[in-house]
Amino acid sequence: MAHETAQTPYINDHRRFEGNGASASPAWMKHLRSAGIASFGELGLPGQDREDWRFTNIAPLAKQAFAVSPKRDYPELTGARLERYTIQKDEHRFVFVNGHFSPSLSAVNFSANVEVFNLASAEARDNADVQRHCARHADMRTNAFAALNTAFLSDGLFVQIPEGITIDTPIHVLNVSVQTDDEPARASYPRLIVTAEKHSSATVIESFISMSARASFTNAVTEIVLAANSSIDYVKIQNEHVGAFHMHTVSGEQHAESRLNMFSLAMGGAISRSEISVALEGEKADVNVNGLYMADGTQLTDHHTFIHHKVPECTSHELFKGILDGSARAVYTGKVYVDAIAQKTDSKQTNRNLMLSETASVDTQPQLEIFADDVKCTHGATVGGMNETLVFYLKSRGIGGATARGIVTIGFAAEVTEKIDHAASRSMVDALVVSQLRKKLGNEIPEIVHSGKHDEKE
Amino acid sequence: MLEIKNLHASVNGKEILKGINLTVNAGEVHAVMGPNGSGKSTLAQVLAGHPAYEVTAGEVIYDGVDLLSLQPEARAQAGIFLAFQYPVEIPGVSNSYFLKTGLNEIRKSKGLEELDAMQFLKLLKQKMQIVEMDPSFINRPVNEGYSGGEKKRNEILQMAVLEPRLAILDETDSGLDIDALQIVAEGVNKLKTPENASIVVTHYQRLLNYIVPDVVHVLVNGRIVKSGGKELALELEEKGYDFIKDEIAAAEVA
Repeated sequence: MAHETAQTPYINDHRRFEGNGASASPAWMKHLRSAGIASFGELGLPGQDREDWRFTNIAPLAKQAFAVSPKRDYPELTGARLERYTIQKDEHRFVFVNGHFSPSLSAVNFSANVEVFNLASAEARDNADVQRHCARHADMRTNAFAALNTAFLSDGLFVQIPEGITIDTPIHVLNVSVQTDDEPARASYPRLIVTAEKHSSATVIESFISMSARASFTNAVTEIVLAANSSIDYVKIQNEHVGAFHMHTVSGEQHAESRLNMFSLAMGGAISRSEISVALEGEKADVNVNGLYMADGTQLTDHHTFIHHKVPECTSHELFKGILDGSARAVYTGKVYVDAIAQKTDSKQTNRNLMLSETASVDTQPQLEIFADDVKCTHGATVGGMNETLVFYLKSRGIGGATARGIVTIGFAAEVTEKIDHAASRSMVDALVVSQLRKKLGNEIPEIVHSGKHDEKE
Repeated sequence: MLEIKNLHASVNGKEILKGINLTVNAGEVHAVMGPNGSGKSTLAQVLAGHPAYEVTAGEVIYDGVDLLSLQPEARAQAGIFLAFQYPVEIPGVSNSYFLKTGLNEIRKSKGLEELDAMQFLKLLKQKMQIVEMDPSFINRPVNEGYSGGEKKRNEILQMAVLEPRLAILDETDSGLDIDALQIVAEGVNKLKTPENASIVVTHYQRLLNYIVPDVVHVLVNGRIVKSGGKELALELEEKGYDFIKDEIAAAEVA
């Protein structure tokens, strides 16, 4: 079977990996890795015969072999080169190079008693919290990429926000993919675990960038656990090279009255997929999952979300927008699953796509599965060209051509980027959107401004 | 300045305008009144070039040019301005950028030099005083989250900045309280010159207390059925549109 041949290089790579130095890992980590490779061996790389991969053909990824990146130095990778990816000057910055923590490129200065380790560190080895959460949330029994990530688990970041603590300064995890021309094609397996204890809050940003134009494979897992009354703003910025393959499993677990506000920006990558699942385990938990994808050329961008309402009175709101040009393809599958006991669920799911070319395409599937009878759930999707009413308004003011198209597109994007509460992250996402549009439509494209509703958070 | 001859227009195959004839000279204010569904807003939209309306017969000559052959942006550059009944929200795009871009497109088309940011800001602040708009609107996204009155004021601000030769105000009074109405009307009056003209489309006579028309036209069922001086508006206010309809019915029988 084709799937077996495609997964063989990873299984061989895993064997080599376990033989080389990875033996220094603690026993619990080795156990997880064995479970990961076993599960990956059974699942294989997903083909389009799998329902949840029906629209996403990963053959271009499967036909190449990507070997796990060793920990090594890249002298050309300097702090100065990473400067432009800074979200906020005083951020707690954790830089991971091909999945390995780089203390020299990182800048961390916690005043509160935050538990934060890179997983390869001595402190993480015997830490009970790390063991309790690491690879315990993302489902590796059914998700082949989460399983494959776990098979190569050796480093990553664990952050635990202590009870009652608010961290004002954002935590920024910058995942850099880099390889020299003489290296074989590289895979990296970043992992981030964030746990927020009761009544705590923090902003966590995860960026994915690549410093070289060669094909690379990033297969990341993020696990976020929110205890009662905690709050996390999570922003993902995926801006890897257009030759990159990017798979990311994001798994959230929320307890009573917690609040999770997520945003996913997908811009880079030949094929990129973010699989976001959130389990609402405690009453009155509130989750927002928003995102923007922009694709051009032959890029394929995929968002898969799964919100599981397990208890009553939770809310989930989802808005994903896509801007598609060239022959790009987008996939959006959003599923909201409401258990029978999850009465008074309030859920809204929206996907809107702006098609800038006739050859771009999108497969969108918002889905609701409701087993409770007293709920408020809506979903909807649109795929269309420019808003004609808006275009006419612009033309009636003398503005036509590329500038009008740019203004319409800016307006379309701003409606979802405004949902990012953290000001500096929102500015970064806005700036990336504008710079992408300027490449296409020229420097007349304006900066994005938002109405004043965020002022109190800035 | 503007000559509309036997104008017919349809939307989705349904004929709305059934032979409009109207001449507007420089310096004049024309009011177009009529009951709901009579085609008033369609006339405004057709003049500005809305793509949803198909002109099936007739012509519109504006300053000697066939207006209907021009794209909407070319009409704006030639001095036509439509104040929208329902101004559109543009999230993410600031009022100042929007207006500066529009003004500079219009200036470019006339061979005038573009205004830089400083020059434009100075101009914008002057114009904002005319419509009594708070400077905070300079950097707010276009119309997003504005009240109905703020949106209408923003339309008149755009008119003040773009300085059209022919302004078409489409139901600018709808949704305005009396204070906002006065401010908007005063803005329009301050912008009046002997060289420009305006067409004020309205259902109610109320706005015409503040913007005094030279000519009032009554539009019923896609045709101008009666034209007169400003006293016609008062008569309509008093007697309602039925009296016109009765007059037409009587004329048709005779």
